[in-house]
Amino acid sequence: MIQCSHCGTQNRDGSKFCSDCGARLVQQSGLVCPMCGEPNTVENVFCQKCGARLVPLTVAPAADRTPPPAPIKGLSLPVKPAEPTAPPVKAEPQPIEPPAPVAPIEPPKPAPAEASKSDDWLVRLRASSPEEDAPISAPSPETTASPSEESGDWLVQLRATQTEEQAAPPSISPQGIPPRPPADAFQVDEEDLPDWLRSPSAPVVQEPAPADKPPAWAAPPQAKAEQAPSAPTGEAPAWLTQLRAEAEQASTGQLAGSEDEIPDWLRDTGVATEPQPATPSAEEPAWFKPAAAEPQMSPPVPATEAEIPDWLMTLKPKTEEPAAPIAPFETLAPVEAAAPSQVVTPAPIVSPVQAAAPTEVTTPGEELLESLEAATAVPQPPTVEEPAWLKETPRPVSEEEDVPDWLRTPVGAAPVTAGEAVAEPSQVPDWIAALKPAEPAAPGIFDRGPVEAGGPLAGLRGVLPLASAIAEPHAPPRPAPPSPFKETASLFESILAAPVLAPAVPAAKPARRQLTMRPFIYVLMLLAVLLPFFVPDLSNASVRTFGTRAADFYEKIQALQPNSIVVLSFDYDPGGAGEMDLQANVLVRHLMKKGARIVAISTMDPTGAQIAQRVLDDAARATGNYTYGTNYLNLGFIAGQEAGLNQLAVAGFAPATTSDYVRRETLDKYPNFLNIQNWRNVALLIELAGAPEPLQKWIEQVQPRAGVKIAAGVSAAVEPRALTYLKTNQLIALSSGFLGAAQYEALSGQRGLAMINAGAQSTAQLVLIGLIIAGNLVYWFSRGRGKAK
Amino acid sequence: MTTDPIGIWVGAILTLLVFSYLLGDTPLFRLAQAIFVGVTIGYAATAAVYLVLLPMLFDQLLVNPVLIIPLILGLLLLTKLRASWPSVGNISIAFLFGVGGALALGGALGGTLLPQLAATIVPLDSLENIMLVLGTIGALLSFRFMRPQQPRVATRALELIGRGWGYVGRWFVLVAFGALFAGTAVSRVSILVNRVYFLLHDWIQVVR
Repeated sequence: MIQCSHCGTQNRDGSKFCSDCGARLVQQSGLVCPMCGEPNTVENVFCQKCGARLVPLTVAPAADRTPPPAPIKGLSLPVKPAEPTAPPVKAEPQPIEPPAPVAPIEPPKPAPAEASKSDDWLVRLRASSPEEDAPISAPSPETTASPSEESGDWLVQLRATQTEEQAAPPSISPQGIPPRPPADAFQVDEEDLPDWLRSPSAPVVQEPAPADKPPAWAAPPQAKAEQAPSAPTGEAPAWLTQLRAEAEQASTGQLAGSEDEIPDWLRDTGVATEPQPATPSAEEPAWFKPAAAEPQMSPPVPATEAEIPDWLMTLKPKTEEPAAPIAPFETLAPVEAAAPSQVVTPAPIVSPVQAAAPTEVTTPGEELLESLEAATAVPQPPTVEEPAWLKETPRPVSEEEDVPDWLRTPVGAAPVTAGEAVAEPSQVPDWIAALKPAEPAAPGIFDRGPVEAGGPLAGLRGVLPLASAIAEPHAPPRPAPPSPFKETASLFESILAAPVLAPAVPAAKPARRQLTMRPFIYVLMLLAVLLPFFVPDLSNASVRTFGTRAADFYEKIQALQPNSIVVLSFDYDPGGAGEMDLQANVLVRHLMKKGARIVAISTMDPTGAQIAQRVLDDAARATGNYTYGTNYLNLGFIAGQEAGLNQLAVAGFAPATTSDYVRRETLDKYPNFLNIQNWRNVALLIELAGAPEPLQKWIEQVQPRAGVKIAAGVSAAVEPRALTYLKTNQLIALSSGFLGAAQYEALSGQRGLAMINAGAQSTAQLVLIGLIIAGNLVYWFSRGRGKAK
Repeated sequence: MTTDPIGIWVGAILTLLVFSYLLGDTPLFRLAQAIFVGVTIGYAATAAVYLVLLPMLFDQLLVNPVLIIPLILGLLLLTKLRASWPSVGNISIAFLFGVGGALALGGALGGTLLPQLAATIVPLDSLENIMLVLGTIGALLSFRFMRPQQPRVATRALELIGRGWGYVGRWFVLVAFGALFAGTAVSRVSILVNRVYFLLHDWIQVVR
């Protein structure tokens, strides 16, 4: 058996999908422990890992039988294979002799379940016959009763289930038998059938016989003998043969006219009359396999008493004892308890047809049911067709051959001549009804167990195999969580269980007003700038000029020849004009004083052209003899950054394309400046840079290519960078910031803004130095206090 | 030095608006900032049209048809206004970056790096030259962040020397940074003094 890992349903070996949930099954070679999931071999009774019982407890003998647990619907449990027993007795035509005593074996589990299908009156069939070994001749008149009383409870309930599933009320055939319900009715119920019930009852239509031909099993005895010559009828005991003959005799007349109307599935159910030996019969149930697979079963040795189910033992004809009083089924003594000499087991009884053609294996209960139906010999209405579920069920032939004979015996004992439809009470022949006792005995084993609530077995009690609780499907055991998780979980639980303590929030300190220095710095700097303008002593600050860079710059300008072309590049924006204008003013005025031709350009910012024009105009007005276009020219903004400067260094000022900033005329309109297209005619290039980038670009792009001398008047912030070029002689002169402008004014004798603002500048710088020192001291002491804390 | 009263008043008011930043990021400062940015952009755009495009491109386009190439490249740059537009403007960007990078690299190599390296090769006959060499090498060593994992004896000695020299060079770097900061501070103080003088001399006219 294969236990479905999804739903736990036990499935037959070889199944690929679960019969309950459809999940794919994992093939296993042995039994899976329902407790721990450990696979065990089929020989194991207890789990080799946990010791749980693998094989469910079967029905105990009647003596010590206890009420079985509630059967589980749809569950087919693994059964421990039967112990090797003596080979079944081969069918022999001579009368049955008491078999030799054999070791008792545990009967297959489904046997009692199948036995539960039969009613008490059927069980006591043996009791009703005066002599078991004598042929059953005629029904006793005292057993005739009304149809409702004749049929057992299980038949009534089964019929009720069938009739409920039919939409229309069953039409009564002329024979008094309602037509078989359509296949759909069984199709629905098939889903609820357990495996062990489906397989035996599922016939396989090997070769559908033509409709116009009577079925082989329904053929006359002569024809059957011709078709199955290898199945001697004499193999059956006399009392069973006679019983079947009577049944056939009772049904021959009806079957003769309706043989062609019998569906195939009914033909296949005729186990005893199957004409084709090679035709595979119903699939062997799972609980058959262990016993069927035993090779010891092949020798025709009479079956042991242990193999014989109780209900069959009750049917056994007693040769040495007179008819025993009718006893309840459950009170029957076990087979083992009976003396071997007094027991005639039906196991060696093999019907002739079975011996020749092992076609179908059915459960004893079903066989009994079939035998009853066969006894009625009522042909099925032509509208009955074989249900689909019967067609789809395979029947391996090989497995059929392994069915023990004792399981076939009941079939052979009861002649089967009709379909498996449940016989109506009225269908029960009189000779069988006569066997029914008038009053049922005490409740037996068939009254035990729960009543099936649905499906074709609705209303039946105890039809499912008894299952022990240990064999019930259990959910796969969940692996225990690893210990780290447990520790973490316990820690988390302890944290959650701990009382929540309010965090100790430090008391908020009273907001102390932060003493900021910013307003004081603003006020101090404002006073440092304002006071020199109102205090003459502070405004008349002297500037040292000797040995300064401004002095060198002044000498370079002073060395220029009159009418020398000097290019001034105004590369600063209005934001830096407050500082850079000081140098630009003093330089332009000095150049005008020297009579140089000034050409102003701007390369970094378009606003530089406007600044240049303003500075030149102011200087020209201050000088008085300088005119635009004649003495100075503004060529405006030269775009292109590095590319523009490179082009300017390579090609110079193109006269035809270069226009001035003020008049928008080309350079050739200004004859005094035509020669500036060659850098060699330019005496000096003064770069007024408010940022280091313009100065760097001029030195990198123009100075190496044009070879022009460059002097720079830069902002104080650019001075550190400009000094590097001055050190490398890439700059011939450098003046920076306010101090350079003041020095230059002092050198040139001009009192300009630089000298005027020198006092304020110096005072502001002193205050700034003092603030820096004070700030560092405060920081130093505050840091020390922080460390001390 | 302007003499336009309107210009003086506008300049004075804008200067006071900028000084309002001393009290915080006031709306007055934001107003002055927006005005300056707008005026600067407007002036730059106008200057670009009247100083670059008209005299250098459109006025000479008929004379020199080759200028159609920079015109097309300039028009392609307009496609960069929206990302969903075709990225053909990358051609102009590539051209600008390619030419600019090449010129900057070549200029930096020949105009700054090599002359500066040559300036450090000086005879150590004066304290200035010695300090120049020590400071330059020390500054370079201070930016060395690698060290051998398994130093040998010789390399360990060099490592110690380099580490110490780099420590000295770090002070040279600090001094250079200090000089830059001082120059920037002096430059900004000069601007402050110029603005105060403008207010006192041109606007209020309390200072001659």
